[in-house]
Amino acid sequence: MSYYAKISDPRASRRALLESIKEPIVLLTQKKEIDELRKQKRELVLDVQEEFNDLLKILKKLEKILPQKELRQQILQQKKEAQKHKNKVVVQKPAKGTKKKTAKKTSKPKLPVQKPMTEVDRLAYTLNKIEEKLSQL
Amino acid sequence: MMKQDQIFVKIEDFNEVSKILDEVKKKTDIIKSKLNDLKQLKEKEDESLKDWEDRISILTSKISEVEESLSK
Repeated sequence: MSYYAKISDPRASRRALLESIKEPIVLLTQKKEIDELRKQKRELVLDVQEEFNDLLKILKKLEKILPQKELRQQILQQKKEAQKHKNKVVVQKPAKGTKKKTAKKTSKPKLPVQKPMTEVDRLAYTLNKIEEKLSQL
Repeated sequence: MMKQDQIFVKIEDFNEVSKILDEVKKKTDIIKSKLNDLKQLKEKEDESLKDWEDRISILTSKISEVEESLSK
């Protein structure tokens, strides 16, 4: 035995049904468009990053030529110190087999580890020095 | 007027610096235009997302219309 539901306004129901089927298809095509836009955006961001890296290289070239001997020497000195400190920290590391023994023997307090100078630090330092010089002019 | 010290720069260095500054200018122009493109893409994406949102609300109202007409 089968049961049937009565639809009083079949025309309107059909219309609403068809329209509601149409929307997901439009949404799917739009999703593809958004995906494509996002892909383009990602590629463009990578491109811009590359351009920034190139610009940084050019600026480094400029920095070498510009007559700021004192400043360059100070930066180099700082870099050397940071490198020395890094090397010291590496030397202090115990070998694999003697890990437990050395840990017991050397219970000295750890030296504060100085972070190596990053590119941003270096640029900030250079900027500060330039500002200092500008204020003296 | 305040007297200023004269500065002499090697002509090769001077030329090199002006060349590099030219490169910097070109690069910054390229970056500027690419950032502009990026901004436009972002705007397009935002518009599409907004449109998407609108269409989803239309869809939900259509579905409730269907439900209503079926339950009459």
